[in-house]
Amino acid sequence: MALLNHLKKYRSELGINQTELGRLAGVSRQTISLIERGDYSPSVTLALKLAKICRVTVEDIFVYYEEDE
Amino acid sequence: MMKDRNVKRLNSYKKMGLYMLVSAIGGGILGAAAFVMLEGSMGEGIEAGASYVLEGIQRMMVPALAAITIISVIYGEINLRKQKMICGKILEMEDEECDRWEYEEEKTGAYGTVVNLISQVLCILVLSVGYSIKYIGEGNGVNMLAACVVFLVCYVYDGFWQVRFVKTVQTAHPEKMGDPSSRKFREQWLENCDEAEKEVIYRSAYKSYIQTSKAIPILLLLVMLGHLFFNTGIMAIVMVAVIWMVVTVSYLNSCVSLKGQKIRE
Repeated sequence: MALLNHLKKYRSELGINQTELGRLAGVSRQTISLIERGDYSPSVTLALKLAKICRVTVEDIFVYYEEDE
Repeated sequence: MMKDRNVKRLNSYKKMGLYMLVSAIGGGILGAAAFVMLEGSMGEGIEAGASYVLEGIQRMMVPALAAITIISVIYGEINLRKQKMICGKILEMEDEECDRWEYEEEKTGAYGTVVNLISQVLCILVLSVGYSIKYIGEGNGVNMLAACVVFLVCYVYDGFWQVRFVKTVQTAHPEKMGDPSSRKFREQWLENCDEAEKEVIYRSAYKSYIQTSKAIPILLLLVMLGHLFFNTGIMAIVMVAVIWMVVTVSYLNSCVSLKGQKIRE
């Protein structure tokens, strides 16, 4: 199982960089970078926060799929 | 299903028993070989060699400590300068480019901290060689005093280096608050980390616990053998055993209290 995400796309649509998004979400720039690269799965709280900042739903940003899908 | 579980359990006991048997046989053979070798002239040779090395270090105590201090200062300054340059880049760069510089920052910081720690440990080891009433009583008081002064210089420098290092990191990451001179600095630092950073810290801490749990039994065996063959004293064995107890008990205590906290909440 894995987690795909479109955070980078939504961040670009907002026209802000990783540092700014990190500041808005209350996390470091590095954490935003890790999420965008798919190296870190955020907590539910952070995922909801990011969705709220991007004005979309969590499912719009994060897509869960099984390996064989 | 039940049968499978029983077979698995039996295999675990068999495996554990086999490990113990192999360790006991290996220990027996090694012990017998060591006894044969060390009881003869080889044992005396090793003892003579060790005391020759110790006397050599005692004679060279002050220059050795001075060399460690100089290396520590030179490397510390180079490292801090590089760290400042990297922190400047982090503030200038954006997104993906910043990832590379933050990795460099982590790496440079780790090198600096390791060299800082090695110089402190080496200083303690070198000073310990002359740290005995017998040595001081043999007319080496002035030499020991000079060694203590150089040791203090190195120690003070290393202590201040750590504070400067943290303050440099804080320039690039202003959200990381905490006073490096405070005794609660580690707790303060952790409080300012976000969830991803905390995960890295927790994983690294668990890895350290595993490594320490592996290293301590080996160290205990070595100090026990040292005491058996070279009368190195029981203190080293007691110290390693205490460290083992502290590491295991504090880890278990933390696990139990964290689970208890969750239930109470």
